[in-house]
Amino acid sequence: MKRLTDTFGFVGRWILGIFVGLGRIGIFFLSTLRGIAYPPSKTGLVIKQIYFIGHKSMFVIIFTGAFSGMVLGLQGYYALSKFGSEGFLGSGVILSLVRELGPVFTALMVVGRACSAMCAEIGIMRIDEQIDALRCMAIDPHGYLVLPRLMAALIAFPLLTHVFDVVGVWGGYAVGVKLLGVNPGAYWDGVYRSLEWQDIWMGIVKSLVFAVLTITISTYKGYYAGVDRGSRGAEDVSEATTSAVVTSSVTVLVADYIITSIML
Amino acid sequence: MTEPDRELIRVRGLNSFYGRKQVLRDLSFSVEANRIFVIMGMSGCGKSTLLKHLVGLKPSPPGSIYIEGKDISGWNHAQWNNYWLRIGILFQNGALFNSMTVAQNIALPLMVHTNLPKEIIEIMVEMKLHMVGLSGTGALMPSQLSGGMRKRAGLARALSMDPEILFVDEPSSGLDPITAAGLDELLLSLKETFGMTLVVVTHELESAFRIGDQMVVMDQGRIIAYGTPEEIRQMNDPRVQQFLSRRPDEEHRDYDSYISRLCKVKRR
Amino acid sequence: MCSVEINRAGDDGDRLDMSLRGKLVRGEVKAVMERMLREIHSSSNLKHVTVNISSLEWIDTAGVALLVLFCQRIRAMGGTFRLVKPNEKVLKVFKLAQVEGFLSIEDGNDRA
Repeated sequence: MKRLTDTFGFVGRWILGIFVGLGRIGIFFLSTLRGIAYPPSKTGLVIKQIYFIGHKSMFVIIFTGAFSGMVLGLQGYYALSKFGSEGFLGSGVILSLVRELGPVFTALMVVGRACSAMCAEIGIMRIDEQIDALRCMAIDPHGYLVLPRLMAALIAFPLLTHVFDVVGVWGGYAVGVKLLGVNPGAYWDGVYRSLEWQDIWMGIVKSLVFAVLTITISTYKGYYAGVDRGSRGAEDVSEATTSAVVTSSVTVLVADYIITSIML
Repeated sequence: MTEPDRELIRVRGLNSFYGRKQVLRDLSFSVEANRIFVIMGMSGCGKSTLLKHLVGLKPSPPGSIYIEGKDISGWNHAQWNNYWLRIGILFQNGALFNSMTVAQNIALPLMVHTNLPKEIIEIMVEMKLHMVGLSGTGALMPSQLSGGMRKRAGLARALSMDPEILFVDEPSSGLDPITAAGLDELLLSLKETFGMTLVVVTHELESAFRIGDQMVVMDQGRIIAYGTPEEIRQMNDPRVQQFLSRRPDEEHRDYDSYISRLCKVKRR
Repeated sequence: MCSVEINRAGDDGDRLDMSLRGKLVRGEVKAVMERMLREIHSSSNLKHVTVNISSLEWIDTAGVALLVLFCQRIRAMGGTFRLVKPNEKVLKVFKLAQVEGFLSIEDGNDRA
């Protein structure tokens, strides 16, 4: 009997914990939006963050974009050649990229590169009392630390996603056409014919949603590093960063499924 | 400038908890304007927690802290911002923003809250750095400074808005005696020149008695002495005397439980 | 409030006497600075500038910074700058900022 109540208690606490967490992150997000109304001006900070998220992630995005496109070219060719329809390679590559791989891979790459760094930076500011110092200078920490990152991500994510898509299509071309001998005209024709505005729109919506989710989660984790335990150690930051990366990545995949099922 | 002798901060029966652990017990005292108020006590006695309450980083129960006669527990966002613009805080380890240079750190509140031209801000930054004895370090990053320098840069930042009330957490810990004495001198002249009110947390006896107009001595979350430096010196309370004469704590070390803990160490 | 009074003197307008009244504090500095700089930029042969601050009740570090900037600009133009008759409270602020030497502060007559 005791075992049973223990189990129920554990499950109950776990579920309650999830709701408390969701509530807190919701409040965190709303406080961030409220920061629009308060000083300082965000322009300079946003530009700095666009550079940090966008420019500095460019290399890794181009690299992963190229290889994703190449793999799609390879796999698509072997699958399609079984039915003798290699001509559809272009459509396969572009649709997979624009609707799924582009937004998801871009988000995952930015999580690994920029969000982890953001979480660690804000976490260090938390344990070093810098966030308290900001507050006591009458500078809203949400508005100063989180909002510029969020605004920058809303600009950088769609752009990076499109870079990924474009590089990916050329990667598919390189393997499919140059290596495996698909007709180049058929490849580009497939790309142009199958791509519709709706697909591009889906990619943009996904990248914007991923931007909000990943930035909110990782800044939230950093912002509350060690707060619940009342401790201020380096391990709090490392734990927060790990948790930020894992939670953001999982959330991206779950959100991807939900958006796809709604928009299809 | 505030007029002297006016009661600026009033604390009445303040209790504070971290989870279930009570860290402050029934504290009551008043801080007058244009005075240096010193909070003394051993490490871990709740001094920094008290400071957090006074600056609004930890919420206070209703009716326990009044600033200029107003209960801070019911303050809204605007009232807090208004208060924060009037105070400066030196945190225990400086709390400099490590992505900015020292000069940018000091300039930040001025850039955000004032319409001052850039040249004026640059001159002000240089002036504050000079006041704390850090001339010429403006271009350095906080990570390039030693602990004591970081602390002084933090003080320069706390001074950047010419605050009415300055809260200082352990100003001289980690500083050599000469620099520490210079810092005491600076705190005194800030009071003298700007009519600033200072709340200083410290465990440096000599400095406390040198600068303090009023002081409290805390022990395990309680106030065990409250008065002017002379009054505190003449108190007969054994704990206060022990603190003042720097006698180590013999009776509190429980020998028996120590031995029993030693015996519990598992054999391998 | 801080008000600025300006008198041009000398044979060919090479002397400028200014006097500051009230409180020269953070909120006032920008306006006062624009007024003072406009004045020195409008004359080509300015040689001697005297700022009388006997009626200045109070100054904060932003105000001190303004005077330092002003003095530095005038000296860069080859002129001389004098600051006269600060009251006791204002003088203390100059001393804390350690600029009383740089600003060539003169007591004037009333305290001699």
